[in-house]
Amino acid sequence: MGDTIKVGIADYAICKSPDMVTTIGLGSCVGVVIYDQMTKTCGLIHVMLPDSTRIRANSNKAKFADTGIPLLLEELKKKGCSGRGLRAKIAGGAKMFEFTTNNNATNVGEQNVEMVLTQLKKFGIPVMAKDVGLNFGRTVLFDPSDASMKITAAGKPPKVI
Amino acid sequence: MGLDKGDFNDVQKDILKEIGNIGIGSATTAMSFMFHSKLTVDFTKVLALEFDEVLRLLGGEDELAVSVLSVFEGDADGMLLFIMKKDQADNLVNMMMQTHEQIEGYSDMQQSAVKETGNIIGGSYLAALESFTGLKLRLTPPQICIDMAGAILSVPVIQFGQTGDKAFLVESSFDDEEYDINGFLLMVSEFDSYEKMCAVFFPEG
Repeated sequence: MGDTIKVGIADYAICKSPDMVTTIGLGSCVGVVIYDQMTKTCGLIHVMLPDSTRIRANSNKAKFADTGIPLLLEELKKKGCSGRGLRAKIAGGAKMFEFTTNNNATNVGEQNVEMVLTQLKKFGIPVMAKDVGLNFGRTVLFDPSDASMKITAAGKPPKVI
Repeated sequence: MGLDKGDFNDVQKDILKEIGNIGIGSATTAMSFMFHSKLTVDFTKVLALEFDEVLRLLGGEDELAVSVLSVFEGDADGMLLFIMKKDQADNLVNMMMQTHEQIEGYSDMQQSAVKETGNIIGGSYLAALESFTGLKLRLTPPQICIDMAGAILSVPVIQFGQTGDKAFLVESSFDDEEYDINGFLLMVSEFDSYEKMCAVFFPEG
């Protein structure tokens, strides 16, 4: 049995089978896993915001979708994972509170998902599965040995994508 | 008086706590009226905390929590998040509705009971803050969310995390003869807004 690596908010980790990687309590944040099934290696990043260019304090690249995805790819490349074998699965991007005001901060989840998909497309990485949006938090556990992403949410049966 | 990014000194904490004390009076009156019983509301502790410390107080990212969020805007912008562990919220609902049940999914009635409590606690605090500072603030209608503590707390973190990683937290408790319930009121604000509040306290700059 391997270990389970825990990734916090605005952070990332690289993980190789038999280890697994998890991130807990994704609200409007998005958990992105990029994996390579040949080497059974993956990287998970927990991004908070879509666009680093709109924020002054943007030194933490893992916080933003636009800088986080390139960072994750770079780290995967260091482990010998790059090119056409890479695939992605994503989860999160919920809208936790239902506000009637049209404040753009309230649909940051949607913007996060959009930016993640844009970045993955830009680098030519196919998205094999996603569980995004709606109004509940998610915990994800990714197993690089079979590329399965287990998603648990409060009061719902767990699902695997 | 300057303010370190997202940090408070002892004097500022005392002031924010004092505002809490002023807010208690109206909160207690409103809550006792609603609960039809003699109730004590207390803002026991005032802390400036990192968000992961708040998470620890709530029992971790995946601990089920019940929360009520209101946004305030006007002379200062921020959020008030009233959050409590699920078992504490269950007690609160039982206390309000005079029931004794283990609650699975919250009914509309139970949700609005929690929402109203959050509204009274948040509104009392904000009213006191307003009268103390002279800042004009508007509170939006409260919204409820029952989910993992980590997912809930990410909302204020995302909106105001850019300006500092600390929130201002007031621990509140409600007591009647039967229950002793603990909840937390978090105030998260733009850095500029904290400065405005403190500028009122220390006008010499």
